[in-house]
Amino acid sequence: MNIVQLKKLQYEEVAKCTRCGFCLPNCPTYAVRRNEASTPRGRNAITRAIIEGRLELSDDLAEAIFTCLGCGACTKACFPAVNTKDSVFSDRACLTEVHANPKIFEKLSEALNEYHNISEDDNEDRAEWQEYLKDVPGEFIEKDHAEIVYFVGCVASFFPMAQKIPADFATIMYHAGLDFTILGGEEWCCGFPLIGAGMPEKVAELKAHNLEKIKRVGAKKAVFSCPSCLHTWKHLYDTDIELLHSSQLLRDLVGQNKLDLKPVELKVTYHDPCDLGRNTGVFEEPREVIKSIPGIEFVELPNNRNMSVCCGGGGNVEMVAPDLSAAIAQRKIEEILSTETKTVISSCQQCLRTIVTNARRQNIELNAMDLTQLVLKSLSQK
Amino acid sequence: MEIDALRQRLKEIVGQDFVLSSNVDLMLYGYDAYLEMRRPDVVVIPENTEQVSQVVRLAYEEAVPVTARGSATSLSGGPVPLKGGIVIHFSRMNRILEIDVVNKRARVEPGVITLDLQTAVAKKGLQYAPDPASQKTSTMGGNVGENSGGPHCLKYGVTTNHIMGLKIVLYDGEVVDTGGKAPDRPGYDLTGLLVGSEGTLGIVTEITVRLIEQPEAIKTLLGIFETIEDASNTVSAIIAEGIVPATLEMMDRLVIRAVEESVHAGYPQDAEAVLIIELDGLKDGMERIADRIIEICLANKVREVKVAKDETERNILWTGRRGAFGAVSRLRPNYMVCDGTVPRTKLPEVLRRVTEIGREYNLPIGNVFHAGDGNLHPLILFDCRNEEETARVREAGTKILRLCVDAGGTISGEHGIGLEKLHEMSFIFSPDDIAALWKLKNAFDPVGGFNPGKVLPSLAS
Amino acid sequence: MDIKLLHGILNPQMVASDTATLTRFSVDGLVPEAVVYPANLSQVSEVIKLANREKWAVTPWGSGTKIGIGGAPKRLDLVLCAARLDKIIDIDVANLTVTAQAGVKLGDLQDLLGGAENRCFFPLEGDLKSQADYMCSARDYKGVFLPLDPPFPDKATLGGIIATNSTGPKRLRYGMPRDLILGVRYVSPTGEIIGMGGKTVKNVSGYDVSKIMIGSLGTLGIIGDITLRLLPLPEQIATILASFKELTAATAFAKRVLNSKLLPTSLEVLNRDGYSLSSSSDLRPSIGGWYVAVGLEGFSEEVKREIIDLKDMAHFEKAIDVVELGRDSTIVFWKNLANCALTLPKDGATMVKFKAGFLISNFPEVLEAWTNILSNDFCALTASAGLGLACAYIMVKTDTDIESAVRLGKAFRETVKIYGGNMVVEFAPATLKQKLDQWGSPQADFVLMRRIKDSVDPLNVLNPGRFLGGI
Ligand SMILES: Cc1cc2nc3c(=O)[nH]c(=O)nc-3n(C[C@H](O)[C@H](O)[C@H](O)COP(=O)(O)OP(=O)(O)OC[C@H]3O[C@@H](n4cnc5c(N)ncnc54)[C@H](O)[C@@H]3O)c2cc1C
Ligand code: SF4
Ligand code: SF4
Repeated sequence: MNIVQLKKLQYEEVAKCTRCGFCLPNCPTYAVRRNEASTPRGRNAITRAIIEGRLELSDDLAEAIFTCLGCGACTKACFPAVNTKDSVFSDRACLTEVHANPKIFEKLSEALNEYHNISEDDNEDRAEWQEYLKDVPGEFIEKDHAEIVYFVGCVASFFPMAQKIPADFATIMYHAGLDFTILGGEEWCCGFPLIGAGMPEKVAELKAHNLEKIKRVGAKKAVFSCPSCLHTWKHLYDTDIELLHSSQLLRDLVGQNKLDLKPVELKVTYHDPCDLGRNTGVFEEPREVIKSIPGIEFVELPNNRNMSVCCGGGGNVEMVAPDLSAAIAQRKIEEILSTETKTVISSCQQCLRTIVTNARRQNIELNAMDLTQLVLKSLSQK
Repeated sequence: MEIDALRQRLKEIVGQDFVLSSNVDLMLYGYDAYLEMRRPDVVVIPENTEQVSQVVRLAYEEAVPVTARGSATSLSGGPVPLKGGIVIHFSRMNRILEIDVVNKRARVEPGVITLDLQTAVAKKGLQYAPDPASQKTSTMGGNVGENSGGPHCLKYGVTTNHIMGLKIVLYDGEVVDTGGKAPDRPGYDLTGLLVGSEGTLGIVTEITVRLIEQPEAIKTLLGIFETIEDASNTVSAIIAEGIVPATLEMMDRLVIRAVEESVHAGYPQDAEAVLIIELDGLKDGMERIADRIIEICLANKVREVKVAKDETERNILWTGRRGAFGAVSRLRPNYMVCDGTVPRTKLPEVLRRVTEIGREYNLPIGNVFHAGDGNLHPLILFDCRNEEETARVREAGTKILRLCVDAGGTISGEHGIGLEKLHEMSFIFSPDDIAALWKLKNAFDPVGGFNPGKVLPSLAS
Repeated sequence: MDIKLLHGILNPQMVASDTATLTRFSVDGLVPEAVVYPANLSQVSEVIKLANREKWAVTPWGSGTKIGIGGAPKRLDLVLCAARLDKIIDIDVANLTVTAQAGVKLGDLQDLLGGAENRCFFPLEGDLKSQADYMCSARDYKGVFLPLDPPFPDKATLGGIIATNSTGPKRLRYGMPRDLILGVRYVSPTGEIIGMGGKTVKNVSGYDVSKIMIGSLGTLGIIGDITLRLLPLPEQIATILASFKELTAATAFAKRVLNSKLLPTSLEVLNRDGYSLSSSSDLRPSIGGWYVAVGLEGFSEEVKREIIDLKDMAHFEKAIDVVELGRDSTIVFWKNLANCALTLPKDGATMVKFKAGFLISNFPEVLEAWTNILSNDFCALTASAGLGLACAYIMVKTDTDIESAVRLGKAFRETVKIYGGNMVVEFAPATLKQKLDQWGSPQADFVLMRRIKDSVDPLNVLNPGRFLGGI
């Protein structure tokens, strides 16, 4: 993206910023870094300065622009509702154009080009998680045609820590008698990491491929356990089929009494993933599912729903500033512990991965579970 | 000293990570919520008084200006480093050092967010009363710098009425305490002079505040009016009745609409004005007073008076009020707020003239203000990218301030002079007055190193 | 000094130099060479400019009720008496402000304010202009008041109250001069007429100069006129008096009141001598001799509820006797207390007054310690529990009395210091002041006070030597 395009896309948006600073206390990066460059206001000022020719596109800028989590918390605090995260992502595209972006993203883009996944694994290994399946016959999972496509996403497919999640979700769907399939090795990364990396144009190929595959299956619905995949599909993929998050599907199943939920004695809290909650508007479905499980004691986090604080895993920040990401995760963990619960439920594999990794690093005893795992736990109680 | 050498010395004082000097950083520390921008030469983010003291001493030795900065929400250019130099950002000095429940005092560092202090003391059943609309992001240091007010200041007074003592770094780096937790220390009221001095007399590194009991009961009413005159008359009539509520806040149609678009506070979009009237104190008698207020509203042709049923309804009314400035930038990207204040009896008349000025200059003006205090906030809406329009806005703003002064008022009620209203200082002060202020400035800051170019116009002009 | 120089500014009748007048206006034994009675601020300004040229030392004089505050002047050539600056400039009832000159007596002003007409305002609509078009409130009680209740309200002038930062028990609810002052016009030590602030209840234009004028004892300027905030007179007033056998019970009661949601206007703890100064015949004096007086003002329902709660609290803390004073006896009681020092001097004795400020939390400890070091002679204690203030009144007649008062003062000061506070000598004969520093020793921030004084009064014309640290 060049500056002319940036101006066209974002000038009116950032011009709305009156520098009132109301967003400052909401930004997790400011909470840690304590400097203006780590504030939404600062990031908007940078965008504006670039557009008005007061700042050169240089490496200097990259630090401020590439440490935004894209969590959107600032916009919720902002009375004119300035969309900082989209402006930041546009800035990233400009910086990429002039090669002032962090080099690690070039590698990411190459990897996606070659492997179609973020972990540089053979894409055929996408179905590795099926090893965790116990009582679900393979043919139920990979079909040529189905009503529902389950889009697993890179994190759940490749990160061992998260691989149980798709297995559990598939098991639930199987027991509920749903007609679903996965795309297996034909599922490509949705392209989300490229947006955060400032390479939105590179999403096109991945998108075309995924749309084509889904069409072939003839699905009416696509279901996602990864909120960021869902968000990307909703905003960048033009398709008529219904797009759902796993928590929404689970809520429907609960509503239709298709799940035989048995008591689980557990005190839990729930972390709203940015891309599911604030950025897609799904707040109540996961809560309804949690509360429908008998025996659960549910407490809200001090900052919940629109005010939920990012886990530190957003916006590819982990790749450029791991210390910042870790410090934000640490604060998230402290917030969770402040509720005096030992179990946090989320419905995003990336959030869980960030929280668990950092808790382990600090030797903090914290149990982090995906919503699907909690549901399966309830189903499998005697 | 070369700038690089200065930066190096600063790094030795506050540490590598907390000295910022990249092109981007300098641009980012050049603004506040007002229009003007100026770059500093270097930014430091100190951790304690000792570091601040060393930074100031170095600046003194090297004859470099120092400007303090909290959250930079000032609306008058307060933290903008007009003459460059060092900006001290207080974001890391944000600890609440002590909450002394028995003595009803708290001690905080200047970077503490106003609302964070309020939340912390509320847990102990106490309150810190001054509540600027920016409380969720403004710092205590900034509140002290500007002597901030807020809706509840009608009853409880502004920031200065709640500041008991300060720790300040003087121009040469020396550190002294003024006031204190105990009352009536003999000597000049330095604390009172420092509050509202916009960082031009000394750098505050610790603040001792007075806390008060939370009220036993609160009642919040929303009066909805068909004309702004009816609402203004109601304000006068309530005060005339011998009732001083906790708040008397007014918003006009333009602001109501903008706010409703941002949050659904439940203000009717077709009303010309709303009043937020809040009573607090003992529960006994409150019902009768509220009824009396409703009667007064009715006598002034109110369309409807809504009573907030619970804490949630009350919060949403206030959220709307606090977001009013921000919300209007949905209509036009910028606003200029004229902070003129008039004797409250002059309110209706001055409001009418403000509307006329808007018409005269062909500029949209919204009103949201502390009606009970006579503190106007006409918001002139514009787009600062349009230079001709911006010039017109400045002219209209000056005219509104002149209008306030002519009505027996003043040019700033709570936002400060900064660099915004230097020119208008001559509306209210004679050259002798200004000279008297300069003598005080010189007593505190003989070298003129603190926030130069603010508050006081030069003697020649 | 050449008195004729003054005649160029003032009518010679307004320049006194007869011995009788000069003695009357002597300060701590120092007799001035002339006393002037300027009629307005420009005359004050001219006099001060002259004093700068002639290097005279000038002491401003209000009503003299507090002239004993402060050190003995280093020099004294001229007393500037504000008696003729006694005009009330503006009472704006609807705006709740008053502007008056420094020489106005508080009592006179309160009388006027209390009788001020029903509060009316001019509605904004149409072409209403005549008196008949004013809208008036229908409330059946009227009047406003200045919420200040310093000692000697009938004699004290506004200028004097401001210059000495004089406060009374009601400060608990309504604050002190610094909370009420909105504007001030004064003549600077170099003779310029300076105006700061005005009739608006909020103002952050320029520095808040009125704050340092308060309590500066005329060392920074001569106050001309002052604008202050008013409040509507309360619908109901009352007082609860309770007597206790032990100090601990009295302070426990006070603490209970402070930690409740009640909003008393004043909360005073008095020892037996202190109580005798204001004594109300309504309350049976009791053995043990500790008394607590709680002033109440507000809407009638509030006051009613407070009375009930206070009685319960007092009984809970084992009060010996509790009585409720109605409107009239309330006024008398607090007035007597404010004037208590007046009722004192008997058989040629002089009064010494010590005033201390300390942490509220140490209120019981300070009172306890003070009581323990008290001599057996008359020593009245009055203390504001909610503010952390205590006053001691002692009678001295002979040199031995003075010696023991000095010892007492020193001991009091030491005690208060332990509790983060300070003590000043408010009234005392010059002989005592020579032995006991009136202000205590200055602290680190004194450098700023010194610089301020030097900056605004380079020739040290105004009240030299009387303030903290010899300013
Ligand atoms: C949307 C909006 C609403 C607002 N509403 C109100 C309102 O209702 N009432 C009101 O009064 N104001 C209001 N303001 C203005 C502003 O928020 C206040 O002036 C606030 O007190 C500034 O705090 P800050 O931390 O942002 O200080 P800054 O803007 O950073 O600084 C303000 C001044 O204080 C000085 N300063 C800061 N820290 C120190 C220190 N440690 N030592 C010495 N000087 C220091 C600075 O140099 C500067 O001159 C509003 C502003 C906005 C944008
Ligand atoms: S982004 Fe919004 S909240 Fe933040 S400074 Fe700008 S206008 Fe204010
Ligand atoms: S999107 Fe999140 S991280 Fe980025 S500026 Fe906004 S609040 Fe900060």
